[in-house]
Amino acid sequence: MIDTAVLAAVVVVLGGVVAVAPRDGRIVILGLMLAAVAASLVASPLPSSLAVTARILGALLAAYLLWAAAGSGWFNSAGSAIGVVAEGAAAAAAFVVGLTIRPVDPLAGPVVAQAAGLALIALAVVPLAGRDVFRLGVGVTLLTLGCSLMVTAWSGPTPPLEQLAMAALLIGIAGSTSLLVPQSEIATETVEPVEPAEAEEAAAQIPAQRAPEKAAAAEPRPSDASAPARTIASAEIEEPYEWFVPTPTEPARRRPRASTVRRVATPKPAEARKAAPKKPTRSRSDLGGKP
Amino acid sequence: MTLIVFLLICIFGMLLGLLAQPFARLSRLVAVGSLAAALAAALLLNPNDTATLGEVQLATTWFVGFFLTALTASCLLLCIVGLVTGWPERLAPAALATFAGVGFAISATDPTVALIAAAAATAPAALVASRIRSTPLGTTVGVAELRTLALVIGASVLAAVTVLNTNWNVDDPTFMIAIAFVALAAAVAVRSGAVPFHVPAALLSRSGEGLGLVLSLVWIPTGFGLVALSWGATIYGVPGDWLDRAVVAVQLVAVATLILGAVGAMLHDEIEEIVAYSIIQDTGFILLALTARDADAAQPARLWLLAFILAKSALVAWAATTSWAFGSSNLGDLRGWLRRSPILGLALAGIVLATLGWPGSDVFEARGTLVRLGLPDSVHFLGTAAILLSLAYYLRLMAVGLLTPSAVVRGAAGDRPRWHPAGAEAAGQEVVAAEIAPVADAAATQVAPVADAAAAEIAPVADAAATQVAPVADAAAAQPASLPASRHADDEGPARSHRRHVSFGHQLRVAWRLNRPLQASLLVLGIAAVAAAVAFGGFGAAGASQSGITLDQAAGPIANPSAIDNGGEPTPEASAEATPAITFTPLPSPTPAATAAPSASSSATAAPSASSSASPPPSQTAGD
Repeated sequence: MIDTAVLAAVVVVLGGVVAVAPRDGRIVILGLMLAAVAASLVASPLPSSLAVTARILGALLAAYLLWAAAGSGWFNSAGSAIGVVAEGAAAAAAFVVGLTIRPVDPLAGPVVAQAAGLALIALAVVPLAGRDVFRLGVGVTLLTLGCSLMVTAWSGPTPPLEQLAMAALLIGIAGSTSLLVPQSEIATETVEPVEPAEAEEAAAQIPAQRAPEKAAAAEPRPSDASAPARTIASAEIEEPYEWFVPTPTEPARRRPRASTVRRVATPKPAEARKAAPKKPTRSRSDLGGKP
Repeated sequence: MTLIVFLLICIFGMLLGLLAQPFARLSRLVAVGSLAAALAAALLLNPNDTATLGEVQLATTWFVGFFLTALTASCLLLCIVGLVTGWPERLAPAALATFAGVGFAISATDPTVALIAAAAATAPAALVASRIRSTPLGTTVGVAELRTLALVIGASVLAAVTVLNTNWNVDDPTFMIAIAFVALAAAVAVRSGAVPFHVPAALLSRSGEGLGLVLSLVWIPTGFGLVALSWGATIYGVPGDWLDRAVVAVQLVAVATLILGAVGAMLHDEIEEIVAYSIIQDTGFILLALTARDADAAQPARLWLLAFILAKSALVAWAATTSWAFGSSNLGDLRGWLRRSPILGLALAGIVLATLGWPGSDVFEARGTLVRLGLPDSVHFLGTAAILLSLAYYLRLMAVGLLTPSAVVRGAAGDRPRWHPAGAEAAGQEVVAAEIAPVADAAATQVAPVADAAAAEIAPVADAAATQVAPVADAAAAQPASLPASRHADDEGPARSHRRHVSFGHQLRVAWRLNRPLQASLLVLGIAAVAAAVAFGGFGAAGASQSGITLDQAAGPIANPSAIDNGGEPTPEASAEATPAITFTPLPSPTPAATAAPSASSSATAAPSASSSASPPPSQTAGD
């Protein structure tokens, strides 16, 4: 009979690998949820049902927050740079190391908790070093889960309030990520600029009979990084600035009212510098209107 | 029970505030109402309150109540300032979430719960940071926020498991304690924006966040810092080579923060940046309290945290009000601001007083004690240097305010109260303008499309009509000049004639609207006055800072676990009992204001053991 903690530890590591390797945001969130749910079961003895319920609800809510941030599902991670096999190998190596080392002797909790925790922390390192905010959020979540497993291994069973605090922390991380992701997606997830000559060349290679497909492929899917390069090239030709246009839901903020813009007739350079609003973001209109 | 009420108010206030975000008026009402309720709950917090939640005891002390009151009061006052100067979206829900986390953290007797709650309390900073829409800045700040969160979580958990375990499989147990110390100090430093890690804080100050700055730079670091400081004299007060090296590293960061933070404040011209660097500079004292590792540093550190919360909240409110009142935050544009707004000048003086104090005052002594205990004797002069540098940038702000007013300042309303002086035509015009402005704005918005369409149709007709109407219009234009004389034969001015048709209540409303700069200035002055009072030990702050948080009393000291580097002499703690090992058993009954700092003799739960390596696994708190 396989111990529940061992099974849960394996599921945790698999979930972690799934969370960092693929590009599809939905699969990433699924893997994260799997790891978070299973992490609450890597304990011996098992926590009370109320504590486990709190952790599972926290994991589900955290996953939902990320899913909601993803909007309709067109939302992708940068994915692993080394591939799913390499990520899996790294996690497995960390798992084995975790099974063998004994920084605390004797361990107060199950050794598989230490192994799974170490594997999750190893998986979190690369996302934490990057600048993709979504992957950063995934990395922070994995790090938190790994740390919680370490606490379980080194300090033994945790009280229910700690489980509740951990659930709140997971929700907080997911909420923070979901709040920070959309703006960074607009900022960073841009296609690398294609030289006009290369773009024309690429367009010329596309057969004329594929024009309808080409038009369909150029539909706005700004976060779909997995789109083939040919589609991106055609989109660049047809809508050269499409990627840089804010989404329609983004309100145009920080734009000073026309009445607050000073118009100076034939300003001298020095006067113009002084008269021009230095930071439109701090104009009177943005600060609540003229007193 | 009173603590549970406070926590519930914060949690539900946060949820309601987030749900009401799409509705501007409702969200403000919910935010102010929730904060007022939370403030009332914090004020009514029973110092001897206990509650058991999830097998962990939560207990309050006098200082816990005072700290939560200071946090909620400063947030409420800032939100009221925001009602005048520009509502800080999401600040209130984020702050309420933070206060709930801090409330859990500083009342929990279990160190893991306390540190995880403290880490969770830092997450809401993203709510404020996410408002930045300018793309490169938003991404950088977002990445910094998440990395900071990761560091805080990792450090918190590492510190928790370190202090929970005495059976580390290493030769020198202080090595693990040193790692935990460095991790915790790094988390405090990064979260508060200490100098090598100050870039995200500086970027945040450039984002136009205004009042939102205070959450990320003041309230969250102090909450986390308070939990971190609770072990300063107990867990990290043991001798050891590794720990000494770690302390030196943190001292370097603290000194760099104290000096370079002030230099940064002097070099920048935007007052938001000056404020951010001023806050960064003063967070150096939190790091100094960490490096002190002395029970004598506990009380000054707590008093400093209280003064820091209120004084820096007042400073952020001052900056936001000044920017709003004069329409610019650049010092070049703000020449002469003090002449135009003397109340804001008084408020700034109060903030300086609350931050620096004077020799003999509580806050001055607290700063001096932290410098004395946190730094080696040879660099104590840096404390004086920090004060002088702080004075320098505050005096710079004052000096700029005393210069000849710039055009921007001359064009601003200032603090001068505006009523309806008899015969003052200008006042009447202002009244009319204030009445008309909102209506005109709304009307202009509605009418603009219609007007554009109508203009195209009317133009030909208007041209023809103008030709016919011109003689009549000329005659009519001459008429108004004679009207006042005929209507005001009793020598009443035009303003009085206007008031005759306007009710007194309406005039009061208009006057209220006209004097918003004055209201905002008075509010800032009020916050500064409260901050100065607390910094001087008022409202019972000096007494409250004598009592620690629950975790102080729950954690007993490790008395020289490595038995090295002590010259063979028993430590003072060890002399009290044989070799007390750290335990975290729940308190049988909290003793709120009795102990200034935990000591071996006051640690009722210290379990003796011959050596730390041979001791059995530590007793689990409530988890067993």
